[in-house]
Amino acid sequence: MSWEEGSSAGMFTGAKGGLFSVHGDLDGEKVSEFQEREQFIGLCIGTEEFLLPIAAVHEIIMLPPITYVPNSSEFIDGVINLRGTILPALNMRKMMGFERGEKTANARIIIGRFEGITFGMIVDGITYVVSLLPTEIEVQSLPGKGTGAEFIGGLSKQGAKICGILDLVRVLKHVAGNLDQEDATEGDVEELD
Amino acid sequence: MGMDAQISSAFATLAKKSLPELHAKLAQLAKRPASGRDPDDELTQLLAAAREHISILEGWANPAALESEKPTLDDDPSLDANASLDMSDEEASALLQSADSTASPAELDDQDAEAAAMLEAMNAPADLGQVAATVRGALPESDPENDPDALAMLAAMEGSQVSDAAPPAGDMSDAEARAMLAAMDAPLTPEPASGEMSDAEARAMLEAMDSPAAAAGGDMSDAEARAMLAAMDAPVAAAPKLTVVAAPAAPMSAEEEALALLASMGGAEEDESSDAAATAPQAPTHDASDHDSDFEGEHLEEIDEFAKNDFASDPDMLNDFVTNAAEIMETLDEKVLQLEQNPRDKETIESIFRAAHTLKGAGGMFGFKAVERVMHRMENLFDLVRKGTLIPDSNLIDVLFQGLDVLRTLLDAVKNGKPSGIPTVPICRSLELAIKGRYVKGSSPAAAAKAPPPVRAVAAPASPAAASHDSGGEERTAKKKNVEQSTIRVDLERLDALVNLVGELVIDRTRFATIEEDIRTTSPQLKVAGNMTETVQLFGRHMNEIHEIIMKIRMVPIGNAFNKFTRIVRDLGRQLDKEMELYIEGEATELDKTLVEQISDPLIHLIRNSCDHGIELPQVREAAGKKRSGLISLSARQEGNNIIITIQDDGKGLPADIIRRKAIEKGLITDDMVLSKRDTFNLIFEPGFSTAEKITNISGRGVGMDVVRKQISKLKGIIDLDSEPGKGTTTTIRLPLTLAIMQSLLIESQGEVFAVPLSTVVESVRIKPNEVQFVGDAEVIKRHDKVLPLMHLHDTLDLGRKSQSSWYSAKPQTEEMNRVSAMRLARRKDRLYVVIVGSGDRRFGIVVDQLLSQQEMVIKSLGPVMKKIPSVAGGAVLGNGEVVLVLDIQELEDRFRSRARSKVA
Repeated sequence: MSWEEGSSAGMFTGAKGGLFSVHGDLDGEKVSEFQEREQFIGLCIGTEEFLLPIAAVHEIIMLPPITYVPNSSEFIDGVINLRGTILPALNMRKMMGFERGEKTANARIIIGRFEGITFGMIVDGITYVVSLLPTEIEVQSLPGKGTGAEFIGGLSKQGAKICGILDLVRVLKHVAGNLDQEDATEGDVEELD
Repeated sequence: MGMDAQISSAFATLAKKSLPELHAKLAQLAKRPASGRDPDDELTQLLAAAREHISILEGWANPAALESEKPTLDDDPSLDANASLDMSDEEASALLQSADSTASPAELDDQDAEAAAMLEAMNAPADLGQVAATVRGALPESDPENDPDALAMLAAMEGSQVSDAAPPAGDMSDAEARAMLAAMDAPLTPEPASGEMSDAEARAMLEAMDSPAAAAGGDMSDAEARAMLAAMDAPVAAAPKLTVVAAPAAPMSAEEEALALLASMGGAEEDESSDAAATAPQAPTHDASDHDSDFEGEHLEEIDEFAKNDFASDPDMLNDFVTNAAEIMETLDEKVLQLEQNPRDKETIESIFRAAHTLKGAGGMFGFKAVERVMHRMENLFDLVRKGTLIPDSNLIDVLFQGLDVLRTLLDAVKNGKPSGIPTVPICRSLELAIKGRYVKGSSPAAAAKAPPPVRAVAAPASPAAASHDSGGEERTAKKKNVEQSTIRVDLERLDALVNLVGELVIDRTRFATIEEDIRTTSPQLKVAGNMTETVQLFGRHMNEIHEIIMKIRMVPIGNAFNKFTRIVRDLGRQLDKEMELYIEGEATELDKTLVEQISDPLIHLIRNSCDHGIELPQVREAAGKKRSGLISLSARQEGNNIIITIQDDGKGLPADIIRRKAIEKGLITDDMVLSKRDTFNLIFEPGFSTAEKITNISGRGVGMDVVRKQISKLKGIIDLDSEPGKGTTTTIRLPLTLAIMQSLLIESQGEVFAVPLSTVVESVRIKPNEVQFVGDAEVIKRHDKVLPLMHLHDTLDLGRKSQSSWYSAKPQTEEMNRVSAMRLARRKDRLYVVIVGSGDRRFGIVVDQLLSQQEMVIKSLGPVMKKIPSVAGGAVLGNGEVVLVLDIQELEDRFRSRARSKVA
């Protein structure tokens, strides 16, 4: 079962090297389990646990000093310095609609990369890495009663606990899209790397 | 006479691209009119025949399939048939005159002998010379009189120098010239016809003069034959082949030569072209010039700009071509200007000629036909100048510049990879007319006759020498002359990477220094600390050196951007009928290459403004007691880490009252606002000023000045303007030396640290709160007798919103920090820190909590997700690894003022 287009699934299968994923897509269940498994990283945001396709994760770093950027998108907490590169740090708590809480010692920044855009996501903790079969993933957009539901690309049904799988593309689009609108008047695209 | 059949069969064979056959036919044709003719009768007959032929040829030319034949005809036929006939008439009478003067029978012999001599020299088939003449005469014109005509020309050239045939030859060209003049004077005679005719002939003359006439004749035929073949061929295939043929002999480096040869092998007609290349190894320039004058002359059709060949598809080579071309164009621009100043300077024209030739050759090799075509015509002009037949005056220089402009467009198109679609015919025409124009105006018939000898004397030894010299590598020699040291071309990307890396290292150095200081102060007893200190200091010193050098690598003299202004001022002066001089100072001042490139547009704008609106007409100036010619001075100088560029004119200045009125109308200021003079002038930088309203017609300035300011501030620079009515206007631009690393002042406001580019900082002051005065809602301070509006950074940036919008960025508050900030707070009670930024009278003060330090930093973009944050120019990484935002003072000011305005409203 393939993921819907435009979801982060497409991205991470692609990033994985294409070989396995293509097989997986084409041959469906005939392919061995090993080839079909996708790895996810478990993370805490607020009080909940989410999964993120591991292929989308560039690295995970400790919380560095974050510089506040006035007048930026409300979901951008500020900018950080990752070995000389300045990256925006997304406030995932706010994005997922949680209340503001204490900054925990477990807080990390997940550096994600999508289509050459590198950005950081502030999460409240990292739990584990999990391998899931496509059958263990339910592709489903949640009806959602508040913020956050729109960033969920699927659900994992493994075990007793159901975890939302974050869709990086939607997350990024939400943040950058806001800016695009602001930017439309300027028409300034040349800064894109 | 059976000419029809002859001609048509000749064309038929041509269509089959059969060169040998063509030669044979042409020889036949040539012999007929040459042998046993009775000038008077024969001429009338021939004219009748010519009439027929022309109509036939026109018929031929019509079908699309045969269209390509058109260019193979000489200039005239494709014109109005009547025109060419008129021309022939003129020619005929001229000829008759000359025939009377006994020359004609002898000439043929003369020619034969020469042909033989030339052929010996060339090791070419014996009939080439003959064919050369016949091709010119018989084929294109189908008008035999052209034959003796051409022969006569050649003979004249030869004769005047060599033999006893001199007097008649002289008469000949004399008569010729007169005929041309007559043709031009005749109102009904279509100009182009006569023009082209004389053109073609002039060229023939040229060629004859240029090198031993023999060679000229020889390659003429060669070239023409090839040109015909090429023209028969698909138009696209034609160009590379032709140019390729020209290439080997053209002054090019050995490798280019080899490549060109290769290309010719690859060409559609290997035999022919390589053959031709082999037979005419000595006749590069004339080759193409012939092909032009004879085949393209008047019926230039727009050609495919790009006829891609193997070279053009090789990105590396193409890249080289583009860079070289740009360099050459720069040289040309500069040198042509020099030429105008000093029309007889041999060295200048030689270098122009070499540059032009190189570009033409290279363009041809790559198949950029349009470039080649235009360049070629310019080269012809240069050639005449070089020989002293043509003395460049401003009209000629105008045409040359037009040509250069077209070329630039074409080269841009090459760079961008898609044809520009710019028509080349008009410029080719005007270039050719310029040649003709010289002949009409510049040289009397007598002069025309006199011209050859000295030229020959120069040309004979010069051309082989030039050839051997040139073949060594045109570009290299040219470059060596300019810069006496060896240089290396480096990919800008690589260089940028290096510069960035060094920028990082500079930051690392700061970081090391911090660590070192830490160790030294916390545990001075450690031995390591001493070593560390030493090492860090050494490292710092080396780092400084590296930094300095690396910064210099990107630096180029600003003169590169300045040079073109001479030309702009000159052109505008002619356009506006004003007399203006541009005085350039400090061209050697160096600044970052990107800056040099990007500063040029705003500068052009400002200079144009000065020319257009600043400098008055000569009469007006005289009436005002000024010198007739206006002076615009453009100067650059370095001041610390800044470059100051000043544009000053002694024109009429800016009318402050009109600007003020307009500004009030536009709502930029209110009626009751009192502005200083400078402040008023600087109003023209306001966006509102540039648009629509016709203030520009009254006052001058204002068109797009906001754009100028935007561009300058994009370069982290500042522009300021001052003017004195009747005395002139001065515009000052302050730019940082480089964009890569900049000096910044670190400030703090509400716990947030920001960097202010030092280039925008005027001064930082500490004032007492009671120095702040309130004017209505606005806070101002008085400083150096000036009133500056005050802006609170935390207000403008909404720093108060930080706590709610940023959850994680709050820094841990240690006791120590609390204590420090408490202390600061206490101190702040009676002191305000104000950073005064901006330029001229657009200065304003930014109230901050703390002035921290001054640091060098590398400005970085915040990345695609945060493309556009208002008032923030970018970020920089500090020594402690934290990111600091760099403020965009311009935007900050706009924001501040618009807020103030909206508050009022």
